[in-house]
Amino acid sequence: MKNKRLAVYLEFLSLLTLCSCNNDVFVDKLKASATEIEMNGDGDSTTIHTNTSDWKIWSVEDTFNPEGNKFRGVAYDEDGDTKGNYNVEFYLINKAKGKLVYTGQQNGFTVNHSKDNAIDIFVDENLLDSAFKFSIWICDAYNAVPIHITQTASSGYTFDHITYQYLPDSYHKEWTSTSITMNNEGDTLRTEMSVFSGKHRKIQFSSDNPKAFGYLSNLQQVEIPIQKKDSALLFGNEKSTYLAKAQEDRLPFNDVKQAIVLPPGKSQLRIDIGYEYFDAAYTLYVHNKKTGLMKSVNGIFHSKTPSNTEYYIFVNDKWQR
Amino acid sequence: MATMRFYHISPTRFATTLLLFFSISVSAQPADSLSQRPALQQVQVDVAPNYVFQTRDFLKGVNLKHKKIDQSLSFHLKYAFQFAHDSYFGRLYPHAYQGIGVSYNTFFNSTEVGNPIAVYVFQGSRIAGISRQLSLDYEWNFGASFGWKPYDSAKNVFNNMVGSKVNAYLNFGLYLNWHMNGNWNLRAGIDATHYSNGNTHYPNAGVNLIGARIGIARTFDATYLHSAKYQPTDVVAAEKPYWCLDVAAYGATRSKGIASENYIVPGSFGVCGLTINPMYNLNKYVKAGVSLDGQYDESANLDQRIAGKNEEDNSKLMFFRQPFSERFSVGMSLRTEFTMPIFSINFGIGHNVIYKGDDHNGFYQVLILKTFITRNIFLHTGYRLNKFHDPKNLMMGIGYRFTGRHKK
Repeated sequence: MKNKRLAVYLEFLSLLTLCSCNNDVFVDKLKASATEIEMNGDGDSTTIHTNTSDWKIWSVEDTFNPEGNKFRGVAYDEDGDTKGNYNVEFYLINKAKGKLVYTGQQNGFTVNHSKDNAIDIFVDENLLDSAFKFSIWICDAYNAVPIHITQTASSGYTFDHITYQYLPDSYHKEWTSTSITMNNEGDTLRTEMSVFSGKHRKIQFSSDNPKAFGYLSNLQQVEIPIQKKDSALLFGNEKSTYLAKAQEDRLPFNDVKQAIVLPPGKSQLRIDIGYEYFDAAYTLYVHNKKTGLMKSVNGIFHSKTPSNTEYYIFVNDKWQR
Repeated sequence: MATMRFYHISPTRFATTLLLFFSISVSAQPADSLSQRPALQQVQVDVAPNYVFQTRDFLKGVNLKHKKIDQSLSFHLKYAFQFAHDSYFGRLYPHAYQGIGVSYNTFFNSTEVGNPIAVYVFQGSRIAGISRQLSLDYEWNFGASFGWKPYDSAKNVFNNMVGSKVNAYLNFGLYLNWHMNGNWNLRAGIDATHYSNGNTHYPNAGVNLIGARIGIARTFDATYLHSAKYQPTDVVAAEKPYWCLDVAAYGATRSKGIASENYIVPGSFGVCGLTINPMYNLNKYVKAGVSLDGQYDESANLDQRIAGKNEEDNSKLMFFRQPFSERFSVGMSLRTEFTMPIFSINFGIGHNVIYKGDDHNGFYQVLILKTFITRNIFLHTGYRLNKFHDPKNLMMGIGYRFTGRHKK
């Protein structure tokens, strides 16, 4: 009986030695705890966990147009150093530990890979009218996993009011000279010319805040100063669209007709106009449509206006006014 | 998460294990309480010239010698015993003999094939008596053969037939058995042989032989067997049909090739399984039943999980671990079992019913040798095929037979 038990025991031992696991040929497939994430439009954060630690952020892409619409921003290293990694493309960035920060005009995100098995995602407000969609691809040597993020549109903002403060140091004048050749085939000609024909006042809003122009629609009209008088700004119900790009506004005065004398033959007509430049610091106030929370944006309003009193007209270098 | 630690097994260990199985089984045989006589002992020597089936270019002459490998010759030395005629098994199977043998084999190309030595167990018996001194017998051999020269990408490049130094040895023969006098028998007949490694290593094309075998056997103290007094009692009539339930657990290792990548995965994968097999005893030779077969195969559906090339070694492929559902299958099979003293040969054909992935699809076939080391405990040595041609894995294990029937 003892021999039989020994025999059975040895058989079990033999069976065990026949078992094996070929672990050397297997790798863990990188997996994320979630791959489809919805985030709040008024700003949100989440943490995605991974099953392995040896992975990188391969790319951060526009979900629908990865190659065409590329995010750029600041890439921080693990120790928080940027080492000149400003304005880098996040498409196929293949970054190990560190942080990617994108700040768009109407949205933005921060993707932080500081932990071995997790990635933290923060989104700014989404000021678009529609959802903001982007994809973070994480990868190891064998596999890439997309994490698709959909951020709903934020509640939105409504214009409240805008204030300006004149910046005296900004005021200066510059002269602009325009020459044209005219051909008078008859006798000496006395005529009138429009001095400010085709001339505009040029204005522009600027701001260091990248989201300054994201809060309102690009049709939003705001009051602007007409001109500077002494050390103050003059207003007169003049409005312009609140945009980042330069705009041409109508002149704050009527065109001027100036009599000139053109001799027979070709003449060189030159008009020198003095332009006034001034800047005003502005503060734009908007409030959240849902919460009513007020938010302000600071920036500079730039104005370049021709002077209706400081202009000169020359015909063949002969002063006529 | 708790993990089980497994060990990779070398071919030598595999063979040693195989032999251990049988050495234990023979030594652990139960004594027959009915017998007043000792078991009959027998020594036999055989010579077997064989034809080698030309299944590979290597055998057809694409080898170092530029010569066909179509002949082999083997020499066998065997020891067998027969249960005494007044014992239970002796009365039930009066002509059955079983034992251990060793053979030397040559393919006349020792450089590339080797001259393997096979160590095996065997069993034979009478199929039909032709005359008082002549009978038609069968015999099967099963064991391990050592000393093959396996494929080696540097040293043995043409041998795309054998992938391991140790291969299983299977043989079946039909013989005319001539009782020459009281102690001597002359046996001659035809036999078929198969060598393969059970898919534990690649390549595993296997070697198949067919040929003749002639041998002479000396039985010690066998005179009473042939005396007029000896009339084996037919105990079959006393046997009533009965049900039994065989439960067996097995394990093995196997190799895996990825056909789409023409790639053999290094290392061995673990396989284990459990069979629950109720059978009905139709007669003293045959049982039939069904079996519930659960199997875990670490390599199953691996071709669907290629991760890519190894970062450090570009020649190696890496794989993602398959979900458990793709590694595990449960099937149902029809089983029939040929029963003899100590050994039973079980054949089954089945289909998985719970599975995922192509690797588990289709019909599977099993051939199992059960070696009873006690009346209820048996060693389970088997092989599993898929779709009648895809080699799957060995099934080396142990089982227990539940039965309400008691030995008379």
